[in-house]
Amino acid sequence: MSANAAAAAARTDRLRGFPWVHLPLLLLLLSAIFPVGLLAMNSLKTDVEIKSAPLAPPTVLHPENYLNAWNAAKYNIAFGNSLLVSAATIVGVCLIAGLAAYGLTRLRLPGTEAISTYYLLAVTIPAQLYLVPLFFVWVRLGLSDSLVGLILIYLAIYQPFSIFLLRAYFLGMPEDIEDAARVDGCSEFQVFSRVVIPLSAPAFLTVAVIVGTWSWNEFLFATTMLHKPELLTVALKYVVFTGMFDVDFAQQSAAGMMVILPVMILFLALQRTFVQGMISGGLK
Amino acid sequence: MSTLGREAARPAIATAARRRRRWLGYAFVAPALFLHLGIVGVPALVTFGLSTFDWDGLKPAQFIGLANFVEIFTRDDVFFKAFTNNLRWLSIFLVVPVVLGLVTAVMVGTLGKSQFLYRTIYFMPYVFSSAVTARMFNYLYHPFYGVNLVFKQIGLPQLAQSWLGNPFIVLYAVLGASLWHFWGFDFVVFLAALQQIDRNLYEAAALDGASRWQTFRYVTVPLLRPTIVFILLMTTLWSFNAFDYVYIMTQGGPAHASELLATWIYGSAVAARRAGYASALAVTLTLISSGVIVAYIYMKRRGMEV
Repeated sequence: MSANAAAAAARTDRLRGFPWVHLPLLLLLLSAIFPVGLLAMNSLKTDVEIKSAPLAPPTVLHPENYLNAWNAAKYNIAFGNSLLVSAATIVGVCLIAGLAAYGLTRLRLPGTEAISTYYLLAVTIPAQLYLVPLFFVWVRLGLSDSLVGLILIYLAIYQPFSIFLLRAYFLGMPEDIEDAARVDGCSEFQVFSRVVIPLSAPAFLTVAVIVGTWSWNEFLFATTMLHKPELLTVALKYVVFTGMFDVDFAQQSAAGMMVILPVMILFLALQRTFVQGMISGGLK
Repeated sequence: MSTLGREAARPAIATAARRRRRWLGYAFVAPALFLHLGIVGVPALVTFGLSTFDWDGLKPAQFIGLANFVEIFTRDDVFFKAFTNNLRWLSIFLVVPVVLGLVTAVMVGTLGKSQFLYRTIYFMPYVFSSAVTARMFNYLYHPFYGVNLVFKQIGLPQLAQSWLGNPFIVLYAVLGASLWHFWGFDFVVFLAALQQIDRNLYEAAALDGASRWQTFRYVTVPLLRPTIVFILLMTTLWSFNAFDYVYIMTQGGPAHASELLATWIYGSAVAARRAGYASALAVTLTLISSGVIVAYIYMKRRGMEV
Protein backbone atom coordinates (compact mmCIF):
# COMPACT_ATOMS: atom_id res chain seq x y z
CA MET A 1 0.00 0.00 0.00
CA SER A 2 1.43 3.39 -0.91
CA ALA A 3 1.78 6.13 1.64
CA ASN A 4 -1.08 8.06 0.03
CA ALA A 5 -3.44 5.10 0.12
CA ALA A 6 -2.51 4.43 3.73
CA ALA A 7 -3.30 8.04 4.58
CA ALA A 8 -6.62 7.83 2.77
CA ALA A 9 -7.49 4.60 4.55
CA ALA A 10 -6.57 6.16 7.86
CA ARG A 11 -8.84 9.11 7.05
CA THR A 12 -11.83 6.89 6.25
CA ASP A 13 -11.15 4.95 9.44
CA ARG A 14 -11.20 8.14 11.43
CA LEU A 15 -14.46 9.23 9.78
CA ARG A 16 -15.87 5.85 10.64
CA GLY A 17 -15.21 6.49 14.30
CA PHE A 18 -16.81 9.94 14.28
CA PRO A 19 -19.46 9.85 16.98
CA TRP A 20 -21.50 12.72 15.51
CA VAL A 21 -22.83 10.43 12.78
CA HIS A 22 -24.75 8.67 15.52
CA LEU A 23 -26.57 11.81 16.59
CA PRO A 24 -29.09 12.13 13.74
CA LEU A 25 -29.22 8.36 13.45
CA LEU A 26 -30.18 7.99 17.08
CA LEU A 27 -32.85 10.67 16.69
CA LEU A 28 -34.30 8.69 13.79
CA LEU A 29 -34.03 5.55 15.88
CA LEU A 30 -36.06 7.25 18.57
CA SER A 31 -38.73 8.35 16.09
CA ALA A 32 -38.92 4.81 14.69
CA ILE A 33 -39.33 3.32 18.15
CA PHE A 34 -41.49 5.99 19.75
CA PRO A 35 -44.98 5.03 18.52
CA VAL A 36 -44.45 1.30 19.14
CA GLY A 37 -42.66 1.94 22.42
CA LEU A 38 -45.59 4.09 23.51
CA LEU A 39 -48.02 1.36 22.48
CA ALA A 40 -46.05 -1.18 24.52
CA MET A 41 -45.97 1.18 27.51
CA ASN A 42 -49.67 2.00 27.27
CA SER A 43 -50.47 -1.70 27.13
CA LEU A 44 -49.08 -2.03 30.65
CA LYS A 45 -50.64 1.12 32.16
CA THR A 46 -54.19 1.85 33.23
CA ASP A 47 -56.58 3.94 31.15
CA VAL A 48 -56.48 6.65 33.84
CA GLU A 49 -52.67 6.78 33.74
CA ILE A 50 -52.66 7.06 29.94
CA LYS A 51 -55.10 9.96 30.10
CA SER A 52 -53.26 11.83 32.86
CA ALA A 53 -49.55 11.10 32.23
CA PRO A 54 -49.25 10.21 28.53
CA LEU A 55 -45.46 9.88 28.41
CA ALA A 56 -44.75 8.45 31.87
CA PRO A 57 -43.79 4.79 32.19
CA PRO A 58 -46.26 2.63 34.13
CA THR A 59 -45.96 2.98 37.92
CA VAL A 60 -47.25 -0.55 38.44
CA LEU A 61 -47.27 -3.05 35.57
CA HIS A 62 -50.74 -4.17 34.47
CA PRO A 63 -50.23 -7.34 32.42
CA GLU A 64 -53.88 -8.21 33.09
CA ASN A 65 -54.72 -5.76 30.27
CA TYR A 66 -53.64 -8.48 27.88
CA LEU A 67 -55.94 -11.09 29.37
CA ASN A 68 -58.84 -8.63 29.54
CA ALA A 69 -58.33 -7.51 25.95
CA TRP A 70 -57.94 -11.10 24.77
CA ASN A 71 -61.29 -12.00 26.31
CA ALA A 72 -63.12 -8.81 25.41
CA ALA A 73 -62.02 -8.88 21.77
CA LYS A 74 -62.68 -12.64 21.53
CA TYR A 75 -59.18 -13.07 20.21
CA ASN A 76 -59.11 -16.84 20.65
CA ILE A 77 -61.36 -17.25 17.60
CA ALA A 78 -59.62 -14.53 15.61
CA PHE A 79 -56.17 -15.94 16.35
CA GLY A 80 -57.35 -19.37 15.28
CA ASN A 81 -58.66 -17.90 12.02
CA SER A 82 -55.48 -15.96 11.31
CA LEU A 83 -53.22 -18.90 12.13
CA LEU A 84 -55.24 -21.10 9.83
CA VAL A 85 -55.25 -18.56 7.00
CA SER A 86 -51.51 -17.86 7.30
CA ALA A 87 -50.54 -21.54 7.61
CA ALA A 88 -52.69 -22.62 4.67
CA THR A 89 -51.42 -19.70 2.57
CA ILE A 90 -47.79 -20.56 3.36
CA VAL A 91 -48.18 -24.25 2.51
CA GLY A 92 -50.27 -23.57 -0.58
CA VAL A 93 -48.04 -20.83 -1.98
CA CYS A 94 -44.87 -22.87 -1.38
CA LEU A 95 -46.44 -25.78 -3.23
CA ILE A 96 -48.02 -24.10 -6.25
CA ALA A 97 -45.44 -21.32 -6.65
CA GLY A 98 -42.65 -23.85 -6.13
CA LEU A 99 -44.04 -26.11 -8.84
CA ALA A 100 -44.64 -23.19 -11.20
CA ALA A 101 -41.20 -21.70 -10.62
CA TYR A 102 -39.60 -25.09 -11.21
CA GLY A 103 -41.61 -25.64 -14.37
CA LEU A 104 -40.69 -22.18 -15.66
CA THR A 105 -37.00 -22.57 -14.84
CA ARG A 106 -36.12 -26.14 -15.67
CA LEU A 107 -38.65 -27.62 -18.05
CA ARG A 108 -37.94 -25.23 -20.92
CA LEU A 109 -41.51 -24.46 -21.79
CA PRO A 110 -42.43 -22.48 -24.84
CA GLY A 111 -44.35 -19.49 -23.51
CA THR A 112 -42.22 -19.00 -20.40
CA GLU A 113 -41.59 -15.41 -21.44
CA ALA A 114 -45.30 -14.71 -21.89
CA ILE A 115 -46.14 -16.16 -18.49
CA SER A 116 -43.40 -14.12 -16.81
CA THR A 117 -44.65 -10.97 -18.51
CA TYR A 118 -48.18 -11.73 -17.35
CA TYR A 119 -47.05 -12.02 -13.73
CA LEU A 120 -44.98 -8.86 -14.00
CA LEU A 121 -48.00 -7.00 -15.37
CA ALA A 122 -50.21 -8.46 -12.65
CA VAL A 123 -48.13 -7.01 -9.83
CA THR A 124 -48.30 -3.49 -11.24
CA ILE A 125 -52.10 -3.25 -11.41
CA PRO A 126 -53.99 -1.98 -8.37
CA ALA A 127 -56.09 -4.48 -6.40
CA GLN A 128 -59.13 -2.27 -7.04
CA LEU A 129 -59.01 -3.33 -10.68
CA TYR A 130 -60.09 -6.90 -9.90
CA LEU A 131 -61.70 -6.45 -6.50
CA VAL A 132 -65.24 -5.59 -7.65
CA PRO A 133 -65.94 -8.50 -10.05
CA LEU A 134 -64.09 -10.85 -7.71
CA PHE A 135 -66.34 -9.85 -4.84
CA PHE A 136 -69.53 -10.59 -6.76
CA VAL A 137 -68.18 -13.88 -8.10
CA TRP A 138 -67.09 -14.89 -4.61
CA VAL A 139 -70.55 -14.12 -3.26
CA ARG A 140 -72.12 -16.27 -6.00
CA LEU A 141 -69.75 -19.15 -5.31
CA GLY A 142 -70.32 -18.94 -1.56
CA LEU A 143 -66.64 -18.07 -1.09
CA SER A 144 -67.24 -14.70 0.55
CA ASP A 145 -67.51 -15.00 4.31
CA SER A 146 -65.37 -18.10 4.06
CA LEU A 147 -61.76 -18.58 5.13
CA VAL A 148 -61.21 -20.91 2.17
CA GLY A 149 -62.29 -18.09 -0.15
CA LEU A 150 -59.81 -15.72 1.48
CA ILE A 151 -56.98 -18.29 1.36
CA LEU A 152 -57.59 -18.81 -2.37
CA ILE A 153 -57.22 -15.06 -2.93
CA TYR A 154 -53.96 -14.97 -0.96
CA LEU A 155 -52.68 -17.96 -2.94
CA ALA A 156 -53.23 -15.91 -6.07
CA ILE A 157 -51.95 -12.49 -5.01
CA TYR A 158 -48.78 -13.70 -3.22
CA GLN A 159 -47.85 -16.01 -6.08
CA PRO A 160 -45.94 -13.64 -8.38
CA PHE A 161 -43.53 -12.60 -5.61
CA SER A 162 -42.95 -16.22 -4.61
CA ILE A 163 -42.43 -17.42 -8.17
CA PHE A 164 -39.92 -14.64 -8.92
CA LEU A 165 -37.98 -15.35 -5.74
CA LEU A 166 -37.92 -19.12 -6.14
CA ARG A 167 -37.12 -18.92 -9.82
CA ALA A 168 -34.10 -16.71 -9.14
CA TYR A 169 -32.94 -19.28 -6.61
CA PHE A 170 -33.47 -22.28 -8.92
CA LEU A 171 -31.54 -20.53 -11.70
CA GLY A 172 -28.52 -20.38 -9.41
CA MET A 173 -28.68 -24.08 -8.59
CA PRO A 174 -26.53 -26.61 -10.52
CA GLU A 175 -28.73 -28.76 -12.74
CA ASP A 176 -26.39 -31.78 -12.51
CA ILE A 177 -27.86 -32.98 -9.23
CA GLU A 178 -31.35 -33.08 -10.71
CA ASP A 179 -30.04 -34.92 -13.79
CA ALA A 180 -28.36 -37.44 -11.53
CA ALA A 181 -31.68 -38.05 -9.78
CA ARG A 182 -33.39 -38.51 -13.17
CA VAL A 183 -30.75 -41.04 -14.24
CA ASP A 184 -31.43 -42.84 -10.97
CA GLY A 185 -35.03 -43.19 -12.04
CA CYS A 186 -36.79 -40.35 -10.22
CA SER A 187 -39.95 -38.97 -11.84
CA GLU A 188 -40.10 -35.20 -12.42
CA PHE A 189 -42.29 -34.79 -9.38
CA GLN A 190 -39.88 -36.83 -7.27
CA VAL A 191 -36.98 -34.72 -8.54
CA PHE A 192 -38.92 -31.67 -7.38
CA SER A 193 -40.05 -33.00 -4.01
CA ARG A 194 -36.93 -34.98 -3.00
CA VAL A 195 -34.13 -32.97 -4.58
CA VAL A 196 -35.20 -29.44 -5.42
CA ILE A 197 -37.21 -28.63 -2.31
CA PRO A 198 -34.57 -29.77 0.21
CA LEU A 199 -31.80 -28.03 -1.73
CA SER A 200 -33.68 -24.74 -1.89
CA ALA A 201 -34.94 -24.77 1.67
CA PRO A 202 -33.60 -21.24 2.40
CA ALA A 203 -35.63 -19.79 -0.49
CA PHE A 204 -38.77 -21.58 0.66
CA LEU A 205 -38.16 -20.32 4.19
CA THR A 206 -37.99 -16.76 2.85
CA VAL A 207 -41.25 -17.21 0.96
CA ALA A 208 -42.91 -18.77 4.01
CA VAL A 209 -41.83 -16.00 6.38
CA ILE A 210 -42.84 -13.14 4.10
CA VAL A 211 -46.06 -14.58 2.75
CA GLY A 212 -46.97 -15.56 6.31
CA THR A 213 -46.43 -11.99 7.49
CA TRP A 214 -48.36 -10.51 4.59
CA SER A 215 -51.33 -12.78 5.08
CA TRP A 216 -51.29 -12.12 8.83
CA ASN A 217 -51.35 -8.36 8.22
CA GLU A 218 -53.53 -8.23 5.09
CA PHE A 219 -56.46 -5.86 5.37
CA LEU A 220 -58.16 -4.93 2.08
CA PHE A 221 -59.31 -8.35 0.89
CA ALA A 222 -60.03 -9.60 4.39
CA THR A 223 -62.29 -6.65 5.18
CA THR A 224 -64.02 -6.94 1.80
CA MET A 225 -64.71 -10.66 2.00
CA LEU A 226 -65.24 -11.41 5.70
CA HIS A 227 -68.19 -10.02 7.66
CA LYS A 228 -69.35 -12.65 10.13
CA PRO A 229 -67.79 -11.88 13.54
CA GLU A 230 -66.68 -15.48 14.04
CA LEU A 231 -64.67 -15.42 10.79
CA LEU A 232 -62.67 -12.22 11.25
CA THR A 233 -58.87 -12.37 11.20
CA VAL A 234 -56.86 -10.77 14.02
CA ALA A 235 -56.17 -7.55 12.12
CA LEU A 236 -59.90 -7.13 11.36
CA LYS A 237 -60.95 -8.06 14.87
CA TYR A 238 -58.52 -5.51 16.23
CA VAL A 239 -59.93 -2.74 14.03
CA VAL A 240 -63.48 -3.62 15.08
CA PHE A 241 -62.49 -3.86 18.75
CA THR A 242 -60.70 -0.50 18.79
CA GLY A 243 -63.60 1.09 16.93
CA MET A 244 -65.96 0.43 19.85
CA PHE A 245 -66.10 3.57 21.94
CA ASP A 246 -66.39 1.96 25.36
CA VAL A 247 -62.99 0.28 25.16
CA ASP A 248 -60.25 1.92 27.23
CA PHE A 249 -56.86 2.87 25.79
CA ALA A 250 -54.99 0.34 27.92
CA GLN A 251 -56.95 -2.59 26.53
CA GLN A 252 -56.78 -1.20 22.99
CA SER A 253 -53.00 -1.01 23.30
CA ALA A 254 -52.72 -4.54 24.65
CA ALA A 255 -54.95 -5.77 21.80
CA GLY A 256 -52.65 -4.05 19.29
CA MET A 257 -49.50 -5.46 20.87
CA MET A 258 -50.91 -8.97 20.55
CA VAL A 259 -51.37 -8.48 16.79
CA ILE A 260 -47.81 -7.29 16.17
CA LEU A 261 -45.90 -9.39 18.73
CA PRO A 262 -45.86 -12.65 16.71
CA VAL A 263 -44.55 -10.82 13.64
CA MET A 264 -42.10 -8.81 15.73
CA ILE A 265 -40.61 -11.94 17.34
CA LEU A 266 -40.36 -13.64 13.97
CA PHE A 267 -38.70 -10.55 12.51
CA LEU A 268 -36.13 -10.28 15.29
CA ALA A 269 -35.32 -13.99 14.99
CA LEU A 270 -35.06 -14.04 11.17
CA GLN A 271 -34.08 -10.48 10.39
CA ARG A 272 -31.80 -11.27 7.45
CA THR A 273 -34.43 -13.46 5.82
CA PHE A 274 -37.03 -10.70 6.14
CA VAL A 275 -34.88 -7.93 4.78
CA GLN A 276 -33.46 -9.85 1.84
CA GLY A 277 -36.83 -11.32 0.95
CA MET A 278 -38.66 -8.00 1.12
CA ILE A 279 -36.00 -6.31 -0.99
CA SER A 280 -36.17 -8.94 -3.70
CA GLY A 281 -39.95 -8.89 -3.43
CA GLY A 282 -40.15 -5.13 -3.91
CA LEU A 283 -42.55 -6.04 -6.65
CA LYS A 284 -45.24 -7.14 -4.29
CA MET B 1 -15.18 -46.73 -21.29
CA SER B 2 -18.10 -46.23 -19.01
CA THR B 3 -17.84 -42.46 -19.47
CA LEU B 4 -18.07 -42.88 -23.21
CA GLY B 5 -21.13 -45.11 -22.90
CA ARG B 6 -22.95 -42.55 -20.81
CA GLU B 7 -22.15 -39.76 -23.25
CA ALA B 8 -23.58 -41.77 -26.13
CA ALA B 9 -26.75 -42.80 -24.31
CA ARG B 10 -27.49 -39.28 -23.15
CA PRO B 11 -29.02 -37.63 -26.27
CA ALA B 12 -31.49 -40.49 -26.67
CA ILE B 13 -32.69 -40.13 -23.10
CA ALA B 14 -32.78 -36.38 -23.47
CA THR B 15 -35.07 -36.22 -26.54
CA ALA B 16 -37.52 -38.73 -25.15
CA ALA B 17 -37.43 -37.03 -21.79
CA ARG B 18 -37.73 -33.57 -23.21
CA ARG B 19 -41.09 -34.18 -24.83
CA ARG B 20 -42.40 -35.73 -21.63
CA ARG B 21 -40.96 -32.86 -19.61
CA ARG B 22 -42.70 -30.28 -21.73
CA TRP B 23 -46.14 -31.64 -20.92
CA LEU B 24 -45.13 -32.09 -17.33
CA GLY B 25 -43.90 -28.53 -17.29
CA TYR B 26 -47.34 -27.21 -18.16
CA ALA B 27 -48.80 -29.47 -15.48
CA PHE B 28 -46.38 -27.87 -13.00
CA VAL B 29 -47.33 -24.33 -13.98
CA ALA B 30 -51.06 -24.92 -14.44
CA PRO B 31 -52.37 -24.85 -10.83
CA ALA B 32 -50.67 -21.55 -10.05
CA LEU B 33 -51.45 -19.92 -13.37
CA PHE B 34 -55.12 -20.89 -13.53
CA LEU B 35 -55.71 -19.80 -9.95
CA HIS B 36 -54.08 -16.46 -10.68
CA LEU B 37 -55.99 -15.98 -13.92
CA GLY B 38 -59.25 -16.80 -12.17
CA ILE B 39 -58.72 -14.42 -9.28
CA VAL B 40 -56.69 -11.59 -10.80
CA GLY B 41 -56.40 -11.78 -14.59
CA VAL B 42 -59.96 -12.47 -15.68
CA PRO B 43 -61.69 -10.25 -13.08
CA ALA B 44 -59.33 -7.41 -14.07
CA LEU B 45 -60.51 -7.74 -17.67
CA VAL B 46 -64.14 -8.02 -16.54
CA THR B 47 -63.73 -4.69 -14.74
CA PHE B 48 -63.05 -3.02 -18.10
CA GLY B 49 -66.34 -4.40 -19.40
CA LEU B 50 -68.20 -3.60 -16.19
CA SER B 51 -67.08 0.02 -16.43
CA THR B 52 -69.57 0.53 -19.27
CA PHE B 53 -72.53 -0.66 -17.19
CA ASP B 54 -74.80 0.75 -14.56
CA TRP B 55 -75.02 -1.99 -11.95
CA ASP B 56 -75.84 -2.14 -8.25
CA GLY B 57 -74.70 -5.74 -7.94
CA LEU B 58 -78.23 -7.08 -7.63
CA LYS B 59 -80.53 -5.94 -10.44
CA PRO B 60 -79.62 -6.76 -14.05
CA ALA B 61 -76.81 -4.56 -15.31
CA GLN B 62 -77.61 -1.90 -17.88
CA PHE B 63 -75.22 -0.96 -20.66
CA ILE B 64 -74.58 2.79 -20.63
CA GLY B 65 -71.47 3.12 -22.80
CA LEU B 66 -69.01 5.67 -21.56
CA ALA B 67 -71.48 7.47 -19.30
CA ASN B 68 -69.58 6.44 -16.18
CA PHE B 69 -66.40 8.01 -17.53
CA VAL B 70 -68.27 11.16 -18.53
CA GLU B 71 -69.57 11.40 -14.98
CA ILE B 72 -66.07 10.90 -13.53
CA PHE B 73 -64.54 13.70 -15.55
CA THR B 74 -67.44 16.17 -15.55
CA ARG B 75 -69.52 15.78 -12.41
CA ASP B 76 -67.55 13.83 -9.81
CA ASP B 77 -65.98 16.45 -7.52
CA VAL B 78 -64.74 13.75 -5.15
CA PHE B 79 -62.76 12.17 -7.97
CA PHE B 80 -60.85 15.38 -8.52
CA LYS B 81 -60.30 15.85 -4.82
CA ALA B 82 -59.03 12.28 -4.51
CA PHE B 83 -56.84 12.62 -7.59
CA THR B 84 -55.30 15.84 -6.26
CA ASN B 85 -54.71 14.15 -2.91
CA ASN B 86 -53.03 11.24 -4.70
CA LEU B 87 -50.72 13.71 -6.46
CA ARG B 88 -49.87 15.37 -3.14
CA TRP B 89 -49.30 11.95 -1.60
CA LEU B 90 -47.12 10.95 -4.55
CA SER B 91 -45.00 14.10 -4.60
CA ILE B 92 -44.20 13.81 -0.90
CA PHE B 93 -43.50 10.08 -1.13
CA LEU B 94 -41.20 10.58 -4.12
CA VAL B 95 -39.03 12.95 -2.08
CA VAL B 96 -39.12 12.42 1.68
CA PRO B 97 -38.58 8.65 2.13
CA VAL B 98 -36.22 8.47 -0.85
CA VAL B 99 -33.94 11.27 0.37
CA LEU B 100 -34.21 10.18 4.00
CA GLY B 101 -33.57 6.54 3.11
CA LEU B 102 -30.62 7.36 0.84
CA VAL B 103 -28.89 9.79 3.20
CA THR B 104 -29.44 7.53 6.20
CA ALA B 105 -28.17 4.50 4.28
CA VAL B 106 -24.99 6.36 3.30
CA MET B 107 -24.44 7.35 6.95
CA VAL B 108 -25.19 3.89 8.33
CA GLY B 109 -23.03 2.34 5.60
CA THR B 110 -19.93 3.96 7.10
CA LEU B 111 -20.53 2.32 10.48
CA GLY B 112 -19.25 -0.97 11.82
CA LYS B 113 -21.21 -3.31 13.98
CA SER B 114 -23.92 -0.80 14.93
CA GLN B 115 -25.24 -1.09 11.32
CA PHE B 116 -27.16 -4.12 12.46
CA LEU B 117 -28.99 -2.25 15.22
CA TYR B 118 -30.01 0.65 12.96
CA ARG B 119 -31.15 -1.66 10.19
CA THR B 120 -33.28 -3.70 12.57
CA ILE B 121 -35.05 -0.76 14.15
CA TYR B 122 -35.52 1.35 11.01
CA PHE B 123 -37.00 -1.54 9.09
CA MET B 124 -39.18 -3.00 11.84
CA PRO B 125 -42.24 -0.73 11.35
CA TYR B 126 -42.49 -2.01 7.78
CA VAL B 127 -43.38 -5.54 8.93
CA PHE B 128 -46.10 -4.40 11.34
CA SER B 129 -49.78 -4.69 10.54
CA SER B 130 -50.97 -1.41 9.05
CA ALA B 131 -54.20 -1.85 11.01
CA VAL B 132 -52.30 -1.55 14.30
CA THR B 133 -49.95 1.23 13.24
CA ALA B 134 -52.86 3.22 11.79
CA ARG B 135 -54.81 2.91 15.05
CA MET B 136 -51.66 3.80 16.98
CA PHE B 137 -51.55 7.09 15.11
CA ASN B 138 -55.30 7.47 15.64
CA TYR B 139 -54.44 7.53 19.34
CA LEU B 140 -51.54 9.97 18.88
CA TYR B 141 -53.82 12.28 16.86
CA HIS B 142 -56.65 12.02 19.40
CA PRO B 143 -58.42 15.39 19.95
CA PHE B 144 -57.91 15.29 23.74
CA TYR B 145 -55.21 12.70 24.41
CA GLY B 146 -52.06 11.60 22.54
CA VAL B 147 -49.80 14.43 21.39
CA ASN B 148 -52.39 17.12 22.15
CA LEU B 149 -52.34 16.17 25.83
CA VAL B 150 -48.53 16.24 25.80
CA PHE B 151 -48.57 19.73 24.27
CA LYS B 152 -50.99 20.88 26.93
CA GLN B 153 -48.91 19.43 29.76
CA ILE B 154 -45.63 20.98 28.60
CA GLY B 155 -47.31 24.38 28.38
CA LEU B 156 -47.71 24.65 24.62
CA PRO B 157 -51.47 24.20 24.21
CA GLN B 158 -51.40 26.40 21.08
CA LEU B 159 -49.66 23.54 19.25
CA ALA B 160 -52.61 21.22 19.81
CA GLN B 161 -54.54 20.60 16.60
CA SER B 162 -57.56 18.79 15.38
CA TRP B 163 -55.20 16.57 13.41
CA LEU B 164 -57.79 14.40 11.74
CA GLY B 165 -60.66 16.90 11.90
CA ASN B 166 -59.04 19.81 10.11
CA PRO B 167 -59.43 19.41 6.33
CA PHE B 168 -56.16 21.26 5.70
CA ILE B 169 -54.12 19.00 7.98
CA VAL B 170 -55.79 15.60 7.82
CA LEU B 171 -54.16 14.33 4.61
CA TYR B 172 -50.68 15.18 5.89
CA ALA B 173 -51.38 13.66 9.29
CA VAL B 174 -52.35 10.36 7.68
CA LEU B 175 -49.45 10.64 5.25
CA GLY B 176 -47.07 11.06 8.19
CA ALA B 177 -48.26 7.79 9.69
CA SER B 178 -47.81 6.02 6.38
CA LEU B 179 -44.33 7.53 5.93
CA TRP B 180 -43.32 6.33 9.37
CA HIS B 181 -44.43 2.85 8.39
CA PHE B 182 -42.78 2.80 5.00
CA TRP B 183 -39.49 4.71 4.85
CA GLY B 184 -37.39 1.86 6.34
CA PHE B 185 -38.04 -0.09 3.16
CA ASP B 186 -36.28 2.54 1.02
CA PHE B 187 -33.51 2.60 3.60
CA VAL B 188 -32.73 -1.14 3.45
CA VAL B 189 -32.92 -1.20 -0.34
CA PHE B 190 -30.37 1.62 -0.54
CA LEU B 191 -28.18 0.06 2.14
CA ALA B 192 -28.11 -3.25 0.24
CA ALA B 193 -27.27 -1.45 -3.00
CA LEU B 194 -24.49 0.56 -1.32
CA GLN B 195 -22.84 -2.62 -0.14
CA GLN B 196 -22.51 -3.72 -3.77
CA ILE B 197 -20.37 -0.70 -4.64
CA ASP B 198 -16.68 -1.40 -5.07
CA ARG B 199 -14.73 0.02 -2.09
CA ASN B 200 -11.83 0.87 -4.41
CA LEU B 201 -13.89 3.59 -6.06
CA TYR B 202 -14.13 5.40 -2.73
CA GLU B 203 -10.42 5.03 -2.13
CA ALA B 204 -9.75 6.40 -5.61
CA ALA B 205 -12.04 9.33 -4.89
CA ALA B 206 -10.30 9.94 -1.56
CA LEU B 207 -6.91 9.83 -3.27
CA ASP B 208 -8.10 12.44 -5.75
CA GLY B 209 -9.00 14.63 -2.79
CA ALA B 210 -12.77 14.50 -3.31
CA SER B 211 -14.83 15.98 -0.48
CA ARG B 212 -17.54 13.85 1.10
CA TRP B 213 -20.24 15.72 -0.81
CA GLN B 214 -18.35 15.25 -4.08
CA THR B 215 -17.93 11.54 -3.34
CA PHE B 216 -21.64 11.25 -2.66
CA ARG B 217 -22.65 13.29 -5.70
CA TYR B 218 -20.21 11.85 -8.26
CA VAL B 219 -19.62 8.29 -7.04
CA THR B 220 -22.51 7.09 -4.89
CA VAL B 221 -25.50 8.64 -6.64
CA PRO B 222 -24.54 7.65 -10.23
CA LEU B 223 -23.84 4.08 -9.15
CA LEU B 224 -27.15 3.90 -7.31
CA ARG B 225 -29.13 5.27 -10.24
CA PRO B 226 -30.81 1.96 -11.18
CA THR B 227 -31.83 1.49 -7.56
CA ILE B 228 -33.15 5.04 -7.30
CA VAL B 229 -35.18 4.60 -10.49
CA PHE B 230 -36.57 1.29 -9.21
CA ILE B 231 -37.60 2.93 -5.93
CA LEU B 232 -39.21 5.90 -7.69
CA LEU B 233 -41.17 3.56 -9.95
CA MET B 234 -42.38 1.40 -7.06
CA THR B 235 -43.23 4.48 -5.01
CA THR B 236 -45.36 5.80 -7.86
CA LEU B 237 -47.34 2.56 -8.10
CA TRP B 238 -47.77 2.28 -4.35
CA SER B 239 -48.78 5.92 -3.98
CA PHE B 240 -51.63 5.51 -6.45
CA ASN B 241 -52.69 2.31 -4.70
CA ALA B 242 -52.45 3.67 -1.13
CA PHE B 243 -55.50 2.57 0.83
CA ASP B 244 -55.05 1.13 4.34
CA TYR B 245 -54.07 4.22 6.32
CA VAL B 246 -56.76 6.50 4.95
CA TYR B 247 -59.42 3.82 5.16
CA ILE B 248 -58.64 2.91 8.78
CA MET B 249 -57.76 6.34 10.15
CA THR B 250 -60.31 8.67 8.50
CA GLN B 251 -62.43 6.73 5.97
CA GLY B 252 -61.50 9.55 3.59
CA GLY B 253 -63.09 12.23 5.77
CA PRO B 254 -63.84 14.82 6.92
CA ALA B 255 -65.93 15.65 3.86
CA HIS B 256 -63.55 13.72 1.55
CA ALA B 257 -60.60 15.91 2.61
CA SER B 258 -58.34 12.86 2.89
CA GLU B 259 -59.99 10.83 0.12
CA LEU B 260 -57.69 8.92 -2.23
CA LEU B 261 -58.63 7.21 -5.49
CA ALA B 262 -58.36 3.75 -3.94
CA THR B 263 -60.67 4.64 -1.04
CA TRP B 264 -63.09 6.43 -3.34
CA ILE B 265 -63.35 3.34 -5.55
CA TYR B 266 -63.95 1.25 -2.47
CA GLY B 267 -66.59 3.64 -1.17
CA SER B 268 -68.37 3.74 -4.53
CA ALA B 269 -68.45 -0.05 -4.76
CA VAL B 270 -69.27 -0.96 -1.17
CA ALA B 271 -71.06 1.97 0.44
CA ALA B 272 -72.79 3.39 -2.64
CA ARG B 273 -73.20 -0.06 -4.27
CA ARG B 274 -72.30 1.34 -7.69
CA ALA B 275 -70.30 -1.56 -9.09
CA GLY B 276 -70.21 -0.20 -12.64
CA TYR B 277 -69.13 3.27 -11.58
CA ALA B 278 -66.49 1.88 -9.22
CA SER B 279 -65.17 -0.21 -12.11
CA ALA B 280 -64.89 2.88 -14.29
CA LEU B 281 -62.96 4.59 -11.47
CA ALA B 282 -60.68 1.55 -11.15
CA VAL B 283 -59.99 1.58 -14.88
CA THR B 284 -59.15 5.29 -14.66
CA LEU B 285 -56.79 4.68 -11.73
CA THR B 286 -55.07 1.84 -13.59
CA LEU B 287 -54.60 3.93 -16.72
CA ILE B 288 -53.09 6.75 -14.66
CA SER B 289 -50.66 4.56 -12.75
CA SER B 290 -49.73 2.34 -15.67
CA GLY B 291 -49.11 5.47 -17.74
CA VAL B 292 -46.06 6.03 -15.56
CA ILE B 293 -44.78 2.51 -16.21
CA VAL B 294 -45.37 2.82 -19.94
CA ALA B 295 -43.51 6.14 -20.00
CA TYR B 296 -40.60 4.48 -18.18
CA ILE B 297 -40.44 1.53 -20.58
CA TYR B 298 -40.73 3.88 -23.55
CA MET B 299 -37.84 6.01 -22.34
CA LYS B 300 -35.78 2.91 -21.72
CA ARG B 301 -36.51 1.57 -25.21
CA ARG B 302 -35.48 4.87 -26.71
CA GLY B 303 -32.13 4.35 -25.03
CA MET B 304 -32.57 7.23 -22.62
CA GLU B 305 -30.61 6.87 -19.45
CA VAL B 306 -33.16 6.49 -16.70
